[in-house]
Amino acid sequence: MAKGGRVMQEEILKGNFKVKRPIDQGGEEKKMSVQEELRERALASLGGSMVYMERTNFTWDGEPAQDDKKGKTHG
Amino acid sequence: MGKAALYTFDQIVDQISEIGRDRHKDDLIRNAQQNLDHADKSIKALTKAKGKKAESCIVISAGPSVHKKQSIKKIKESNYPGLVIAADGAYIACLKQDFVPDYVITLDPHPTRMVRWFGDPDFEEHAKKDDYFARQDLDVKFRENTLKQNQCHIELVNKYGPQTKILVASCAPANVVARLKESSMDAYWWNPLVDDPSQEDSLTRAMHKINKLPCINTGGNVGTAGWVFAQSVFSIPNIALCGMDFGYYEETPKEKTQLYYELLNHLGDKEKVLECFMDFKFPLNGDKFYTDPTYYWYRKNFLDLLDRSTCRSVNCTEGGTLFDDKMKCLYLDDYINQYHGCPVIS
Repeated sequence: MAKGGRVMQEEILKGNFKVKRPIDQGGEEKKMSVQEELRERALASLGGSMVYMERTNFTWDGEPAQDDKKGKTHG
Repeated sequence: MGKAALYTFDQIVDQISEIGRDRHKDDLIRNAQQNLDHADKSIKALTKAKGKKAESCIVISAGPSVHKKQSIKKIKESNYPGLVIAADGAYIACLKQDFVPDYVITLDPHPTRMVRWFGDPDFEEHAKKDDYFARQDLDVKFRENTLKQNQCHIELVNKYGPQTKILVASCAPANVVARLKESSMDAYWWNPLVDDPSQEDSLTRAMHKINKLPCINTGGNVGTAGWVFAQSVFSIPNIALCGMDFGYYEETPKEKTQLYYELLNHLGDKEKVLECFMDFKFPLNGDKFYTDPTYYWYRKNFLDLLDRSTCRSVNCTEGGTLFDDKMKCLYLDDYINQYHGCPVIS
């Protein structure tokens, strides 16, 4: 449940008496976190078998980063 | 593919690098540390390719075309004189043809799936918990793999292991490293180059700090890593790819693809999932293929690297999605014939 909805519900129910049983807000939050967890797991599997972010170097062997000419190896 | 579906597809592709980094960063560092004692020989110890093997190379990946087009059989029967690098997923298929590639390359850090490429001593236990291979369109016999098949693979690898040189990434999982040792393979170690090493928080830099091994760009998958090795480590000027489909044959049910269930979990809607595959028509023969977001990302990575490469590369997969203005396609026989002194038949 959205945060705004939760606050509004509390305001509506505040009234001039105390409810005997406190309202359990955990159900919706739990559902969201399970869904979120499933989404994260699904996304993780979409990541393929290996990280790849390097867009410039073909190789690197401990030297400081340099401008990489086409196909040039380092070290 | 409709506009909305393309947007979803592009969103997923754009996220893949970051997803992959988050998913694998702990494995990369942990495995680099665990493998430190095993990594006794760097790729710096590799001998330079000589003669015909310095002129041309074929990189064999494990896409569906490698089986459908009998690429390995063609290479073996042609007595192709150039260098041959095989991805781990194609190694057993090579051995079944009594063909030992010059090098095998392994990269993926998955703790239970990769050992299958070398025969899995814990096959039953792993198969129970994971249908990843069972549902995919790889070699049908592999897909219907049984305990007996797996035992046969263990025996094959044990037989040919002493003749095999393997290029092992420092992130290889413990069970793969154990199989390489058990089968007496000659292992040369390297780090995957996964991000900008000039950055303070670079994973590449962190791995290099652990083991001082050279770092090689992988493009996100072992086939592309094999190509990078061919051009940047072995300095081969002419490279052919086979089995590098980066996609699925048109007739492959979507439910059989690597990502179907993950996409279903992510998108929550079967119709949306079915829209999340991009279609291609292979230029040499008009065969139709489709790709999913991860394979599309691999394809994009390869074409990015190709743009900066100095070697002459040609795709001899005879199928798949890896083609554009700069990535020409050729039949494998025609490529091989060039290196036997026979003219290309066009």
